[in-house]
Amino acid sequence: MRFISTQNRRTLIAVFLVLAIISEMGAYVALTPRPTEQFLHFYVLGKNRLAADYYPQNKTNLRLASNISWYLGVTNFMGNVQLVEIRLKLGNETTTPPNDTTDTPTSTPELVAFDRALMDNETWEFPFVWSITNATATAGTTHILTIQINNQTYQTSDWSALKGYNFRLILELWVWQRNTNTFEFGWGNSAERRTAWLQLWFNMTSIGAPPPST
Amino acid sequence: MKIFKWLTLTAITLIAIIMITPFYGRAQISLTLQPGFGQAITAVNNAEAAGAYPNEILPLVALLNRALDLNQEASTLPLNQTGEHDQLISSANQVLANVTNQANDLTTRSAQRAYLNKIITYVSGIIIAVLGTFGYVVASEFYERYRIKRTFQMKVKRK
Repeated sequence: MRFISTQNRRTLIAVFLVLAIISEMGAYVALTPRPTEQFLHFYVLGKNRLAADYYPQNKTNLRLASNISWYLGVTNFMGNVQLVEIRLKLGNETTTPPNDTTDTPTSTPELVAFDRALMDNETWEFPFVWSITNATATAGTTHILTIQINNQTYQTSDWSALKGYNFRLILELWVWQRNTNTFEFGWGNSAERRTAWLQLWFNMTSIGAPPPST
Repeated sequence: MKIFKWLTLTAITLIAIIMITPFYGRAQISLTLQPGFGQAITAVNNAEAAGAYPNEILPLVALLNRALDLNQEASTLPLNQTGEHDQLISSANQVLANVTNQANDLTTRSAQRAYLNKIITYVSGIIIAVLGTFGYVVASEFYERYRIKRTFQMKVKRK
């Protein structure tokens, strides 16, 4: 066996240590997941899956039984499985919208909710076809009585607007909280909280069936 | 007797009102399912944190959505179909219990696998360092031989 001098031995130990430190650092970097921004993406698209054509002929003044086709979607970028819920609420001009600063939802009760468990990086998109099926106008106020959503008819309670202007559909994204075992509006902790909600306005100034399509 | 008649009438009227009351369609997670959902989601998140792969998580998420569908189906039933409602909720609870059990098993397996992977990766670092040092020794040896060879090949010229 070849004799290794003390100086050479020291050099070898130094080389080994330097290489070991570098390779162990590489191993640590490879094993440690990179921190990413955690968020949920919530959107509504028009009938052509674009952020356009939300209403027939782009006219926001609706009539009875005119079908409106949207697509609701949520994408999970939270880094793990999330249980999400989209809550649909009905509003008018005076309804207080959700507050992004205080992270509070609108106080009106939800009409319907859609739930789904989502994997990381998964997008959940589904058609949301709705129409007003029954409404009345009394003393200058339009009352929407029933709304059909995805072939299911829902009766509304006290959904009205002066002269039929400025009705709103408010969509809120609620996320399951593990510590409370309930859905909460938005996500994150008390130090950094995020919310996502959408609202779409429409009018119903004249109650009447849509003209027959030619 | 008259009071009994009035009470019966009131009860019938109340039941009729409840039956006629329009469906508000709130697909809320049933209160009886909330603990089950909580446990299932926590178990699935733990499995992910332990290092489970997405293809292992996917069936669990599908089962969670199955439980949500059962819950929604139960919530849309008329109030008089309590038997079917309870059956659906019971099925959803079974699905959630199944998810929790599978996720717990997956957590154990994933944790063991992740631990083994960690050890292999760090040991690989040491092996790479040893191989690198050996390479340094071999390279040094070759360089030394080269230098010796060059030295003995030198020619001394008188100026």
